[in-house]
Amino acid sequence: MGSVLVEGASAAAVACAREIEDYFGRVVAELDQLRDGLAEVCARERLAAADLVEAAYPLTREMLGRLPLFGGGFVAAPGFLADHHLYLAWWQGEEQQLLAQSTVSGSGDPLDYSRFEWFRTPLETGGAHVTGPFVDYVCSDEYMLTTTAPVHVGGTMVGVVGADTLLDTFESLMIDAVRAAGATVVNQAHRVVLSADPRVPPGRLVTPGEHGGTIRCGDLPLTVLTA
Amino acid sequence: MGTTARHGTRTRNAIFAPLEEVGRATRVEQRLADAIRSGVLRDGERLPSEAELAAMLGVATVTAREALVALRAQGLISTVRGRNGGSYVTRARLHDPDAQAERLAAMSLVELHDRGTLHVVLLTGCAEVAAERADGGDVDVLESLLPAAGDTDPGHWRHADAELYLSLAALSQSARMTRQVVALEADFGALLRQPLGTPEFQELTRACHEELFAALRAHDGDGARTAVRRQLAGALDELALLRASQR
Repeated sequence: MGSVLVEGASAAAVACAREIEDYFGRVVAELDQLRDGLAEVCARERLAAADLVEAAYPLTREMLGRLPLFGGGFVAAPGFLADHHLYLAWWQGEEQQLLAQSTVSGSGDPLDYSRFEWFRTPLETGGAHVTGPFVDYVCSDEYMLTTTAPVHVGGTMVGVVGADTLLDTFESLMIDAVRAAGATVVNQAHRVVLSADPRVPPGRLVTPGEHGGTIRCGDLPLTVLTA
Repeated sequence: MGTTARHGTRTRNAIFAPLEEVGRATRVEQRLADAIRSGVLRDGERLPSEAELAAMLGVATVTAREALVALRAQGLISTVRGRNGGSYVTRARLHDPDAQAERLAAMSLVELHDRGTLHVVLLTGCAEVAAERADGGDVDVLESLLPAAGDTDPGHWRHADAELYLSLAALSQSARMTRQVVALEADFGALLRQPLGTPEFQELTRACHEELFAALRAHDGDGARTAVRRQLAGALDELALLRASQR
């Protein structure tokens, strides 16, 4: 582990990458704990949503209390639950409301979340993933960085555990480190997460290769770029 | 200085207007129906009881009851008896074509074009910003939403089209813009997608969306704008004609 140093990177940029890696490391550790706590209930035959909710709520509440997260929980793989094809045991917002199901507002039909990066990538890689920044219209309608990790039962992925960090929160946590490094943090699609240049909005795409220093934030799909 | 409330605007007047004696039940019904359609009152939400509603709105209990009966007849609420009884919002009927036809017939041409203008301006704006900010993977996801060639199921098309525009809004990378589109869709989306019942309009929509995908890939904001405007203008034309044919 640790940040990989590439030519041109300053100590401040390395520190910035380390700080980002540490934060998401803590989120992933929380998700590991949530997943382990759900292992027993997920292994039950023909699991019902109500039983999942009962098991996941106290664990999720604790997780949301320990880190500055907007929401989190367990999202079932389509068909995993006995009584709902799609289901999100997901709590969010100040009141920690249960989401349960998500629909497309224009059609009122259930929204199939299984094609979204935050669901698909952990399925494909078998590991944790940070998605974003993206406007999350499935859960929160907020601009988000979503960390997800797969949950397996007997070799089959039955869902993901996840935790949402508002981009606003990420900014307040990381802006000092980003400014000190004069850096721009991007994701794997070269999309800006946060920049020391106040004119650069999050969400903008940058051209690869335009920056001097490139430091990966550990195994995360996030990179710190410096001039 | 705080924000100044703009007295005299229609929105304010609608909220604070005293309910006239004549047609009070109809007004209560319309107020609640609008709140249900726009999503302010959510699916499954429990409405206050007849007595509570009457007290809140300053009308007689019998008037509140009359309004609830009318909402029930429209399929916008359902009433459950017993200990946990009461009236619950049922938005499901919103997507029923008969309910949409009734709503369209009751809508003035002025209102139809007014809503259409807002929809077009907001979504062409989303398209332009998305062209700047979407990457290839984002466009792949949009493309995967289109129904397969030969699929003429109206339900598939309406759902796909709704999700496609929602995804497009999200590609603006603006949560506030996306929330505006979500609200607009809840209010007008189901009606705007009635024309997707015919294979002809489905094909026009497919052509416009494919044009949109190509423009997004090329980071061509003007092209993305044009494609979205063409599809929405087509839908609005069809709706206006549909309304005229109902009369």
